[in-house]
Order: sequence, then C-alpha cells, then structure tokens
Amino acid sequence: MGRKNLQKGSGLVEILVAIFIFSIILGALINASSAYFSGAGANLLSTKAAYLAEEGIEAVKTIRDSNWSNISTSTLEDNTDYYLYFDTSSSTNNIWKATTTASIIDNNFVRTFKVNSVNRDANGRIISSGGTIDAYTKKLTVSISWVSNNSTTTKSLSTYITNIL
Amino acid sequence: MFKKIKQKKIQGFTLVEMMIYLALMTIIAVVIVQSIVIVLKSNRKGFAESNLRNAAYSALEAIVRELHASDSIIIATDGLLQLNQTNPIVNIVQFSTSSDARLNLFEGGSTSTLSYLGPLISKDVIVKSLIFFPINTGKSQAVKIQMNLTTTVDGQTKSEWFYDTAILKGSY
Repeated sequence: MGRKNLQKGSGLVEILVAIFIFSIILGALINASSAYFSGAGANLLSTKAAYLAEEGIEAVKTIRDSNWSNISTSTLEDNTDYYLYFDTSSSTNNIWKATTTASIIDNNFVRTFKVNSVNRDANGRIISSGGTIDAYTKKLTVSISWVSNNSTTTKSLSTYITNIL
Repeated sequence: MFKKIKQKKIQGFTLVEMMIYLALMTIIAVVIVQSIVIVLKSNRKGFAESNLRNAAYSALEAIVRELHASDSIIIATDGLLQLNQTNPIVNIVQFSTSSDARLNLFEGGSTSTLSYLGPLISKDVIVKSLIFFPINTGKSQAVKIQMNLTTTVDGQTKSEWFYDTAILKGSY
C-alpha cells in the first residue's frame, strides 16, 4: 500500500528537485569550462608580454651600444620610467630610442623601463647600499602591464648592463 | 497488483500536469542547448589561442636563437631575413614567408645554395605579416621582428601580433 502512495505522489515536486540538482551541476560545469578557457586566453597575452619584455631589454642594449652616454645619468634620470620608441624615420637606419612620451602597444600593453645606479664595494661586488657608484654599470628594469579579464597584470624583467664598448 | 497501480497512475495525469511538465522540459532543453553552444564556442577559442601561442613560441624562439648566433645581416625586410654565421661554421640562415603564408627555414653555405629545412610553425596557423627591421647601432646589429599570426578553428578566426628584438651577438 505504501508503494502505491509513492507512485501516485511522483509528479511535479520530484521533477522540480531533479531539475534543480541538474541545473546546479550544469552551471558548475559551464563555470569551470569557461574559467579554463579564459585562463587559456590570459596565457596568450602573457606570452605576448614576455616577448615584449625581452624586446625591451634588447632594445635598451641597442641604445647602450650606440653610445653609453645615452643611458648614463646625464641623459636618463635614475629610477624614472621611460618608454621605448622605434624610430623608422631615417631611410637608412632604424633605431630604438628612449622617450618620456607614453605609448600603448596594440591598445593594451604599456611598456616602461628604468635604469638605476649600481653601487660596488671595495672588492667590486654589487651591493644594494653603501660603497661607490659604478658609472659604467646600470641596473635595467623593463615592466609590462596589460589588462586581461578586467584586471591589470604587471610583469618585470631586470638585468645589469655595462659599458662594454 | 502491478496492473492496478499502473492503471491508477495513468488515470491521475491531468492536462494541466502535462502542460507544466512539457513547459519544464522545454526550458531544460533550451538551457542545455545554450550551454552546449557556449562550451563549444569557448572550446574553439581555447584551441585557437593555444595554436597561436605554440606558433609564436616556435617561430620567435627559432629566429631569436639564430639572430644571437649570427655575425651580420645580409637582408632584413618584409617577409625575408638572411643572416651570416661563421661560428662554429660558415653558414647562412634564411627565414622567409611563402606565398601560402607559411614561415620556412633555409640554410646553406652561400645564398645560392640554400636548402629548405622545413616549416617552423604548424599548418593550422598562417603568417599574415612578418616584417624584419634591421637595426645598426654603429657598434652592433639587431633585428626587430613584427609578426601577425592568424588561426581559424571551426570558422572562428583569431589573430595576434607578436614583437621581439634580438641583437646579433657576433656583430660586436
């Protein structure tokens, strides 16, 4: 008799509960997959940013190669953000230049670089404070920031550059 | 007993119950189809992006590695880069785009005896634009690379620009 009652009662409430559970599971699956794929998209932008940062380091090195005075303290202030500008105006030669004019690459990426003085101790080792300033070594930091999924990401690369020529 | 129950249940269905049931089924079906479409779309997008990332990686790493190992630029222009290498052996490396928008690698002892070594990126991705800009600082040479890659996955097209610069370490 109990079984009879149960059979009779199966109807809307059961279906509603089933739909409810099913839609929660479906929603979770969709959320998970869209998070995964938007993560893949962010990955593409960070790959692009990594190459832009690598380019920044090499570009400042070409500026250094032209003339050390281009990046010495008399030209570029310590710890100040500069932008890179690729000058193709000369018909014979293209050249990277440092500028204070802000520029945005592909409407998203902002690339800045800064140079800092380097101190060395009596043994010539690089130290963070004290010692004497080495006029022929600079610490170079290239930063890239970009917007992805409504949030800004910033990545930096640092290296030391010296007057090798 | 079983027959009795079955009969009773059939009798218990009303038109209103059936209509509500059908309405719910329709809503569920719509939601399911929509979510499948969303998942397939983002799946395509994910495939496209991973194609571009892999292609950018294999092309730029190969070009930068050869640039670092080179002594001088023979030619650097739209779709064509030729480099002189002497260390460890005299070698000429050429990166060039073909008419079907592929990026190909050639090597040889001289510019007239270059042999085709193969494509650098998979055939899912085409090179829409690849420009090499020569840079001469007077004391060293460098090349700026500007590359646009495009891929189409099930009708969904995605393209991205990539930029890099590398100094020819043998040019100092």
